[in-house]
Amino acid sequence: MKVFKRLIKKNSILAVLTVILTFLSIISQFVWTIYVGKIIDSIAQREGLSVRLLLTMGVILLISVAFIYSSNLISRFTAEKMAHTLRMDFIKNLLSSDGASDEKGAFEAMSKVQNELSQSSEYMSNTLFDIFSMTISGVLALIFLLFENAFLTLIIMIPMIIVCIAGRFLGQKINPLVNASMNKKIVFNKTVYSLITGFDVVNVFDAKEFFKNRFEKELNEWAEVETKKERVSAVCNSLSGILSQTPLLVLFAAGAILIWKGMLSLGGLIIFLNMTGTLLITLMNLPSWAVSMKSFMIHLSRCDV
Amino acid sequence: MNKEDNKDIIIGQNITFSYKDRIILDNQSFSFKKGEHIGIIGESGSGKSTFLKLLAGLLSPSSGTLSVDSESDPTKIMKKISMVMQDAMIMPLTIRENIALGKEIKKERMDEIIKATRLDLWTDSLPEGIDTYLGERADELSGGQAQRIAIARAIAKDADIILLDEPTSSLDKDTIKDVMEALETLIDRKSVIHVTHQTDLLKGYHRILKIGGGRIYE
Repeated sequence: MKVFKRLIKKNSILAVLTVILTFLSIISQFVWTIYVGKIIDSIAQREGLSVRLLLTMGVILLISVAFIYSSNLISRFTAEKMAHTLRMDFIKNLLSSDGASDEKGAFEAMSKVQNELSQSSEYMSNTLFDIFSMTISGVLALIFLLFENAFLTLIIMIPMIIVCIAGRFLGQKINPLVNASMNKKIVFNKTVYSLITGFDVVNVFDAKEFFKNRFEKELNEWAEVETKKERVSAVCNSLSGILSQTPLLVLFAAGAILIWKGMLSLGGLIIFLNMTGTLLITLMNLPSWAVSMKSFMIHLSRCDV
Repeated sequence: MNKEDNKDIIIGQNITFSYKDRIILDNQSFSFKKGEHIGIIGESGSGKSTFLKLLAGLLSPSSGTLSVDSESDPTKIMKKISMVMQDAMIMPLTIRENIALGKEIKKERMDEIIKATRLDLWTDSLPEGIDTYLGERADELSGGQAQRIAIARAIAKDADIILLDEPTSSLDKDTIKDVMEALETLIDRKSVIHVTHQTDLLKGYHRILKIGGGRIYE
């Protein structure tokens, strides 16, 4: 976190600009969604679409596009500037410390350049601001929905939380199989590597048949675990696919009742449909984002020589 | 060397051999007798290790004939020799599998080999003994432990001809002494060709040959 704070501090203007533009682009998209709801309400009530409404929507669309473009541009630029700061800080620290004076120190420093720096830079460029943007979208969507219709929001939140818990539970079922599959793959990759590097030994000690059988055994073991992983994964995906439709079904059921009772307009339901998707994506991805952020912070902390 | 074993076990006739655009042997003839211990020395890059690979049947001469224990087919030559290389080549297998490499070795024989190479001092401390898997730990082995396994592997093959390619070059002095003791068991009553730049390891050898400039000479 210390390194991350330092990077933000050194690029504070760009970071603040990114936050502001991200907020504005999300809000402009929400406003667009609200106006889509208004159009649907007008159509449902067989009212004509006013020129003013259409012009306003055109302006909102243009503003929204401008904000999305500028927020993307600035966030990528900020990420690159932060990655640049990270690399420069690393070199400055390396030159001012005695870390590179011995061979081991130099080796560790090189290892950091190759692993931590590249992983951190890549994460900043490709993931960090996307996660930031989607998290903000989710939070703003939740606040907006609560203000729009607190009852309906709370009703659809229940299956969403169930979906998140189920997703986490199903993920835990797959994780050991993913690890087992990777370990098996590492083993047969090692065998191949040994065959290449130790080919003379294999020849001299007449071990070709032994290694062929060994490789076949390892390959079969890997295939077995991989098949099991895919089978469990398919079951999990189907379950999670069905579960992920639950909030939508609940929204339709609750929304229809509210519409019949005159407590919600059709446009309002469309807004809910749109915003619920944003919220669901955020909720479902939060655990994996948290994990990726944690490993990003670890990589960053290891960049300090 | 017994007098009765005075026959030539390795015979090279008019051998010309190049490796990576470098002439290692230029029309050279040589012969090694059964039970003879031969040291091979030479400058770095002179082709000592490559020469050993030639004798092992791993490489073929450009011209000339090579016969090892009356065999000239490389596949058959390989069956006649055992080899310990500079890199012990520890595979992602158990210690036992690394030694046997797929061959059936009786328990008593394996125990003998383990003792002869003094691997027991290490394996006895492991919970699974010689059945310890070295997959993840192969890189953590000390140079001495790795070379002992390579020597044990060579003893297990029980070939009459032993080729040693600088088996102690990457070891420290104390470990060299220990590994040399294990090597004594391996080379006892065998024909040995030992490539090294450490000439003190060749004390008591019958002949020391030098490789360089396309020649092999005493």
